[in-house]
Amino acid sequence: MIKLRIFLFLLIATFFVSCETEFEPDIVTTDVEQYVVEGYIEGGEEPTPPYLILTKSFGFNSEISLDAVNDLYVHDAIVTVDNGDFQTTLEEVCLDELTDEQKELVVEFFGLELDSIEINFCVYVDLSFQMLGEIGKTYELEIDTGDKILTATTTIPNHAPLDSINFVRLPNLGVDSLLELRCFFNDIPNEANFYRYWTQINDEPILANVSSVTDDRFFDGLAFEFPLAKAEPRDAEFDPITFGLFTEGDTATIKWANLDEAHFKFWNTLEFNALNQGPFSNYTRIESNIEGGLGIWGGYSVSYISGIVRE
Amino acid sequence: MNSKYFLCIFFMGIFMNFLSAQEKYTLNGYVKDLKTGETLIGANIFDAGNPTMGTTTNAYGFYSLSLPKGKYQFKFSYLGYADETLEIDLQQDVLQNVELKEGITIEEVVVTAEEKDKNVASTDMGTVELGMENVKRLPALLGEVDILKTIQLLPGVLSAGEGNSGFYVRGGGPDQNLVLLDEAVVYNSGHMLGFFSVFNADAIKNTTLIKGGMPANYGGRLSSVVDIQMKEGNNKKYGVTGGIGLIASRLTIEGPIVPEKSSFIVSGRRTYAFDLAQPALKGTNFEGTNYFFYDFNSKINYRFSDKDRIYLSAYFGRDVLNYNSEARGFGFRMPYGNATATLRWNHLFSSKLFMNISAIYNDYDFGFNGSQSEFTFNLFSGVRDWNGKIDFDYYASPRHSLKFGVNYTYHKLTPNILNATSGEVEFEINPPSRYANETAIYILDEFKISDKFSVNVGLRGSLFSQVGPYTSKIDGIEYDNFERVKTYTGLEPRFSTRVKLNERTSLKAGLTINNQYIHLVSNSTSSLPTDLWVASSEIIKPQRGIQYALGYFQNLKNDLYETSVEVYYKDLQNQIDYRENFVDDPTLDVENEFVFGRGRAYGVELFLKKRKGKLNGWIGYTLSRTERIFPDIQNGEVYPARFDRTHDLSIVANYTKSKKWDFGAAFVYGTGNTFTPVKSLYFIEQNLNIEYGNRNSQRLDAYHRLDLSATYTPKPETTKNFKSFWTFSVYNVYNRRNPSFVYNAFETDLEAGTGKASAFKVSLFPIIPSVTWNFKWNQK
Repeated sequence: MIKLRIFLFLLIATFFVSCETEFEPDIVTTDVEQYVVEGYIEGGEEPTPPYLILTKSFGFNSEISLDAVNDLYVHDAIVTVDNGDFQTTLEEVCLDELTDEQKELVVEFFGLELDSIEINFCVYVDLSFQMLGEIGKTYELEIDTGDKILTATTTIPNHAPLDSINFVRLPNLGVDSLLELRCFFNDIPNEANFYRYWTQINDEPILANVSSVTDDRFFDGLAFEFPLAKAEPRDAEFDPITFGLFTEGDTATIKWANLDEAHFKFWNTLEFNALNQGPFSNYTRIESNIEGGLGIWGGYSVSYISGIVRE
Repeated sequence: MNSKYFLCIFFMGIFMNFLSAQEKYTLNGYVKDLKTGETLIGANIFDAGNPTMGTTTNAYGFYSLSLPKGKYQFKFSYLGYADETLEIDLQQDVLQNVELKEGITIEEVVVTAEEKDKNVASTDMGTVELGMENVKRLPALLGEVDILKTIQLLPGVLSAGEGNSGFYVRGGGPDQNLVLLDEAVVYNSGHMLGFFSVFNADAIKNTTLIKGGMPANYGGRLSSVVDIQMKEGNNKKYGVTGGIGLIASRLTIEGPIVPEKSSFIVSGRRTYAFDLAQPALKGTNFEGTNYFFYDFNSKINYRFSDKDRIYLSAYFGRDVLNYNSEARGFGFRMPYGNATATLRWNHLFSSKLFMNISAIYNDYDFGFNGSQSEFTFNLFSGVRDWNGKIDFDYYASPRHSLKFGVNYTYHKLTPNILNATSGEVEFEINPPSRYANETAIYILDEFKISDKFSVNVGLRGSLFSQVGPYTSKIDGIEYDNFERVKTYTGLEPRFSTRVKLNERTSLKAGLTINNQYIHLVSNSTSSLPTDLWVASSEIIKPQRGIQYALGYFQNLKNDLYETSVEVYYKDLQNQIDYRENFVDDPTLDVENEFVFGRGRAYGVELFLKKRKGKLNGWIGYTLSRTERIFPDIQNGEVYPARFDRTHDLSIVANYTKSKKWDFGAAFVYGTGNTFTPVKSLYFIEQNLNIEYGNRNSQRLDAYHRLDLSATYTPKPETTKNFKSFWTFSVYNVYNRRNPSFVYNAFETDLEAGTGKASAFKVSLFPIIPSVTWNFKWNQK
């Protein structure tokens, strides 16, 4: 419905020759800097230890410089994660402290390119790998930044993987090299399930789509086939003919995850917030599960499925 | 207000009336247009020797005036028509139908035959009647004459947005306006996201806006009434009128079925702008898109005698958006719109007692049907009412006009019903419809206590029940058909008084208390076809509004100018909004997404109107504030409502240069709309995200615009059956780029550690000239 609204509006705006001009908004100065948590722990097919990026929010600046971004990272926080059995403390690792091999591993994990990276990227991570994500477990996060305590809880829920994928050629598309992805799926019945997906082409960075989450209210317990769009960066140009299609011959990997409700609400409100500016929405606040800050502490149960793009 | 005191005054007034009801006879009848036989609503009838002894015709053109026996010179007058004076010796009850001649020459336009001091003399506050002939002379966006946009030019009424027909009245939300078409509620009065209203100007006779003291015969909404009456159709001659414009054309046919007894009118309008634009859409993102809307109005009436008449009127309108992408095998069709039907029976029990019985059906529904290869998706929602009402007008004496009646509505509200298929697999979300009974009973008396004092006192009692079938969300109890789930009652006193300080000056005060049981909650800046109407329920309490108003009215220069100053304060309880984390999703039960709070609005409205002359028009200015307080929004802090507008100015002028040329102009100025600014930005998954600041705490640039129009009638004196005229309109003459909304765009390159955030203001309508050719054919 969001997209329908935007479509309707664009249609009318185009018809009436609307005009847009850039402007400098009045800057809000109160309560601007807040702690922002982006932390995950993944269970399932390739479990990960907990890892977390801790930054600060910043006021609306038109140009954001390298120095300004480097300054956003919050250093020297005490970050602990408790899974009910034991507690682990995450260590802060910054890119400039790593060997080249370690750097390679880190940037690949975060979907970046080592050659072009200039930022001194910092992450809190359980380097001991003692705590790997496990389905069914709950993880409590506590961050002591020195001036504030932030807390959050997440659970790695049961997982329902994609059964299979295939690619189909659209008969009237007019571009033979592009195919649509079809997924076969079986939802877990009688429980509220929440899903997120990412796609990866060959060894390019893995990307979440601009609309990447759903709940199962509409398909609880059903087995069915559905088309799935290739993830595009948020600022990608929209082409109504080619959007979301895969190029023949590529290797496509789908990362498919279950997440708990609070985690789902974060992504659902974040994506609505990003897509629904303008005339149709007053605003939507992103629903965070972080007590005392912004962002997300999220658990995923994950599976991967790959295939070569061909009919 | 103390209800005992109120009732005491009320019944004492009625009692006094009967004590004095002696040796009086009644003049009654209908006032009509000479040429067409259309009844005239709000025409004035008064004793020329004592103009305070007068009355006005009701919504069916009926009047009744009881006076002591004797000889009188009665004057019949109506805005834009030549006066008619009749000498009548009132020795018995007299039935006198009167036909007035429309003044179409320049000289006659000067004779604006409205009761001269009506503005000062009546107890009405915040009430404006608009005849369509006046509306048609004003500039119109793309040449589409629009009654709802004209209403926005009045003080206290704000436009919902650039070029939008939606409106806010004295700090009330868009759902707080009761929009009636021949008594049927129109739930969505906008086409094309509200850029055009659903009311075809050719099919409309009269529009009354009540923004202040809503009389007790109206209810169910907190802020205003827009009561629109459709034409009945010429009962003397056949006629065809129509027009060809840039985006739409219209055609109306009317005529007698049985001359002087029965007539019909059918009127249609359809847009074709996107049909014509198809070649231009080729190769764009909108290739395969078409959009159009249409309206169809019809009405027939039959007069059995002077005592009985029936009317059957209907409206059907649809917006249709189609999209079809052959390349992707994807398409959808989205139809939505209103349908109304009204059957009315007017009966005159006596020369003093007029009755109208109405049976009304109205429906608004939204549909979306999409498909992609073997996948289909369908969505439906709607609201449907069945309404029966009986209204009486009792003209007890020239000092007392009573109205009383009862009104019952059965509501059916269908939330989003979704179903989809993927091959053989079917998906469905089928929430049960909600049902409700709404009943109201009312009585009001327009009581002229003396030449100086006059009051309009009324009481409306309302009873609303959510009924089954329903399963309680609170305790799981299942309710059968028509079984009451939750009942609300409302006692809604209405009071307004006028104190005449002198012949040209009066003070007025009013108190209005209203309950509203059906609500529309929108997360957007204007109403969308997808917005859902919801009924009060075990979770949603009725909205309640209390309005206090005070006015000073003065006419100047022998009633050439009308002026008024009105101040108001409004307390709005049980207001509804979406929670701040709301995500618009048709699979959600919206009741779970609501938060509840209060509102208040206050302001002062200045109005100066030049009633007659070659140059006439008005200036309206409003200084106001509208605020909301919701415990769950912004931690309960007070914030400005979305439609809070500090200054709002309208200047409207009409100049009749000659019989051939008529000019119109409208200038509007308003404080910029509120918006919620970005407080801060933060990175998640390498994208910039927005943390918003305080709700509605910043404003767009001030809004101002000038529109001009010219009407050219090449042969005004022609005696031929066929006449035509041209309307030229220029919207936004000086091409002001008024921002309609803002949005932010971000570019980030985390690897490089840089980013760019940009804010944009978007304006919709540049200068838009338009031309419309109008024609009229009348049988000789």
